[in-house]
Amino acid sequence: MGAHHLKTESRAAWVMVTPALLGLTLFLTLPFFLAVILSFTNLKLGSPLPVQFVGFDQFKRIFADPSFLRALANNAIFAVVVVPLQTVFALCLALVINRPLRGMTLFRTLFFMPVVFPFALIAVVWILIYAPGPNGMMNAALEVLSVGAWEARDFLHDPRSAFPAIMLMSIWQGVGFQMVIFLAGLQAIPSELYEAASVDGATKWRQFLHITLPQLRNTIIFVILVTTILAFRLFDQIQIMTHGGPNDATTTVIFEAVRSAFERQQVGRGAAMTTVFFLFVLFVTFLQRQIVKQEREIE
Amino acid sequence: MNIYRNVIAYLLLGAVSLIYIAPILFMFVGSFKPDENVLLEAGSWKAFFPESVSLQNFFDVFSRVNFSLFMFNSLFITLSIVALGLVVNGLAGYAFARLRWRGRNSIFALIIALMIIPFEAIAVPLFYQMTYLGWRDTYIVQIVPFIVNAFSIYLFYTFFIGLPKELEEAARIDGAGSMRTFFQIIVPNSKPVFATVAILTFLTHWGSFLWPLMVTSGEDVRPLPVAIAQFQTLPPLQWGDIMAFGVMLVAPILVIFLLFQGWFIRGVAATGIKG
Amino acid sequence: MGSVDLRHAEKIYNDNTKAVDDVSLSIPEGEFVVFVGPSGCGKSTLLRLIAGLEELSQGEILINGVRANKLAPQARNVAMVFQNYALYPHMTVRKNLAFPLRMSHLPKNEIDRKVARTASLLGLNELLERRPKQLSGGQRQRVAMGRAIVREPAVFLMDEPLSNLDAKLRTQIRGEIALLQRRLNVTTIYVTHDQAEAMTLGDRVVVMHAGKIQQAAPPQEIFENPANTFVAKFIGNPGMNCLPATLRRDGDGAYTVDISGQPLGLKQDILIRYPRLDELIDIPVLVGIRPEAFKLETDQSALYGLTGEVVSVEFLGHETLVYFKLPPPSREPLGLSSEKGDISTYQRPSDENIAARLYKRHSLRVGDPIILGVDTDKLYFFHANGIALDRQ
Repeated sequence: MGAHHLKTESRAAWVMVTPALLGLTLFLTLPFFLAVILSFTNLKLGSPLPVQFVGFDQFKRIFADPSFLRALANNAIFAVVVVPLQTVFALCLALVINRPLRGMTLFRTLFFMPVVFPFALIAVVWILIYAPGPNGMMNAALEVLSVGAWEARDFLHDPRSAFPAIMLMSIWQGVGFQMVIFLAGLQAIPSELYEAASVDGATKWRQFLHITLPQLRNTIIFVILVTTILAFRLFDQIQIMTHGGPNDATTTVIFEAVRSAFERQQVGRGAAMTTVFFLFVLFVTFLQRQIVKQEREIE
Repeated sequence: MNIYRNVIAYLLLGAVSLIYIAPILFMFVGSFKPDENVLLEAGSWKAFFPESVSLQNFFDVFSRVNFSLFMFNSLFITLSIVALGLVVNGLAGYAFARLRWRGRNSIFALIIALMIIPFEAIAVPLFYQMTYLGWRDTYIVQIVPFIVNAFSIYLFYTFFIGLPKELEEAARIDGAGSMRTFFQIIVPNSKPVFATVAILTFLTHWGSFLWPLMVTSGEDVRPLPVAIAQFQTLPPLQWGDIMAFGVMLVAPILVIFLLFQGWFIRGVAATGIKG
Repeated sequence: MGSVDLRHAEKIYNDNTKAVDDVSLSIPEGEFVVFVGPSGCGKSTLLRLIAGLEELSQGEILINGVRANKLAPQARNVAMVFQNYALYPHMTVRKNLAFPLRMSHLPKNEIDRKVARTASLLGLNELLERRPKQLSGGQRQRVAMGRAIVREPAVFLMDEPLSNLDAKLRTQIRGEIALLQRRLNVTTIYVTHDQAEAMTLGDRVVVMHAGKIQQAAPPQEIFENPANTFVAKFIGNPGMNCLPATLRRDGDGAYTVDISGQPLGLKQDILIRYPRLDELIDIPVLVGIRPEAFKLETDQSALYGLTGEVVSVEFLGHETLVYFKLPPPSREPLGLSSEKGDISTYQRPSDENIAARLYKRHSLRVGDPIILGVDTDKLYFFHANGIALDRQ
């Protein structure tokens, strides 16, 4: 070490990384620690009262707040319902599209298209799809499918159907993303494995069970991780379609956090909520790493 | 047997396609219909087949709100993030992958760790920070915090680490310094990773909603996603206008997507490497 | 101006492997030196140390008498041709050639002039606007040479520049490189694993093994007087056979060498070539026999020969390579007493098969017994540690 050109190389490296490090420090690391610190204060924008360190008070308060508890429950329901449905649906689509048939890229393009649409737009269009009365597209479709047995309802203003409606739309929007990741995973499986299996007399179904699924294991775990975290990031649809209502039926953690910090100026409280959210993300990520690691050790 | 299977595959895909085409077609067709017909015909086949085509809704959008400004805002903000991000993250990824310097490995490990922090987790304190700096309601507040991205750095890193070393060595012997080697030798031979990062960044920020909602209150720097949410609540409620707004919002990205869809799909698939 | 001096050069990697171990070598201006050795012998590392792509752990590098240890590659005034050519894929041939000149901030007309001159020197005029992808392997190789030449450097460094070409093209371009070097008279250091390439190209050949220089000498010297068994075995195709043996002198002063129980009588004039032969009497030695030193004895009563069994036969048209093995020694060698020498390595029949190059017609088949005459004037003697015995 210490050669002249290594010094110039090292200097060049620092010039190259400094802007990035600056950005990560100011706009990621700093707010991250600020989030933890603020969650232990009662900071309120525009409040004349001095900022105080309140210990775990914010956390105690939010966990006693029925709206926040409802939000947590909603996120959990969303994860429990949407993650498996969307993953299985995406995997099925990927398996079908992976077949060497004509026109498959067309279907792939179509199913992927909503991924490039801004969520705000999709939410606005689906408000119309969920329009109340027999003229609404969803109501009309269900009526046709149920041969007239369906009673038209106001999906987004009915506490029973508002959240399921948002879940359905989210699946519609998000499936393409996972499908593409699954397709990449499927294409990475060496075809010799299937050839060997079919020589060994394995049926398509057995090939799926004993080759596709194990080979896709880490992809599946990754997709589940991403979708679970996405389930807890839920915000855009809620803000645009229901604003958390009716009666908190569709509220979420991030929605509550933004409402606290932004609408009520309660920054400390909002920070506490996002800290809870982050701890959850950390937990899920850690879980995924553990499962993948175990798998690698077995291999 | 095989034909039977293929027919089933097509039938299945056809059915799912309907579900996918319907909302999109509904929006496009609605944008050309008289306002009152959009909702009225949503429950019938007329939702997808306009009886008359008119551009009135598009004119209405322009007369009711400053659509051009929103479009400019979105383009300016998103393209700034993409362009600056490619330079800053690309340089960092290169330095981590290819240059030898003290502290490289430990700093890179920290950046990898930062990748798990979702934006929502820091939105509130960042909002507070920006308020403190007096940056609210500016372009800067929507651009600067998003230029550097740990995941982009990671994507660049994995690409550069796989490049053969000879080109850089040849450049060094030819007398090029690290900066020049990066811009004149590495960048021209790394188009795939730049395309991937550009697309992922564009997708993320073109649709960005939460942050601009928090930091913009006026129209001056409002981007399209916030604008359409606002427009949808702007009385009188005219669905034809809203659909026209939506079509114009999505048209640029849809054209780019259809032209470069291979890149889009490769880009999104690249996020799967993360696991 | 382009001399290169290495003084006790050493390169130790982080994992403590010594890639280059105490190498000292002086290369005068204009010399064509070839580093040759098996893969992993340190020859490429040595080249990269001279280029400035790697940094010395110990020792010194002088280029034109100036200490270059801490100089960046561009400051060393060296040019390098890479194994995979490392042409810039996004640039045309013209831009590839111009790149090093642009880096030294030459005026544009100067760059154009030098590029044009180099292009015509190498016959690249027709290819200037093409990109590397549109070129054949030989053309790419030529562009890589051009990019090195265009700078008029003090030293050319070439790292296996021909290994990606097919055999015929390799021979052709080998000739071109030799011609070009003579014409430009620029100090050239050339790395290869191919001993034939080394012998045909080099003014001097540097044989390397395990990070050390085994021998640095002109090709003929390397072939005729290998410094040790490694060089002897590495040079030549196949290389020299080095067999464990014992040297004996009887009462009359006649010398015999005993290879695996088979004695070969030596002529009296052996002492003229090996004045210190007496030092080796009755201790384990290695005897070197080039495959060319054998001849097939049709006459069973041949005086000095080795008897063995054919292991394989390679018919090459104008010649035949025969590999054979010696039977284990049938009796205790004479004059061996247990306190002398290391019994365990003594007189073991060689594990390796012995190669012989035959020009006569024959009908040998695998498993056949074979008797080969040995030209005892062409024997080499090595100490048990592999170092060659001094020779006049």
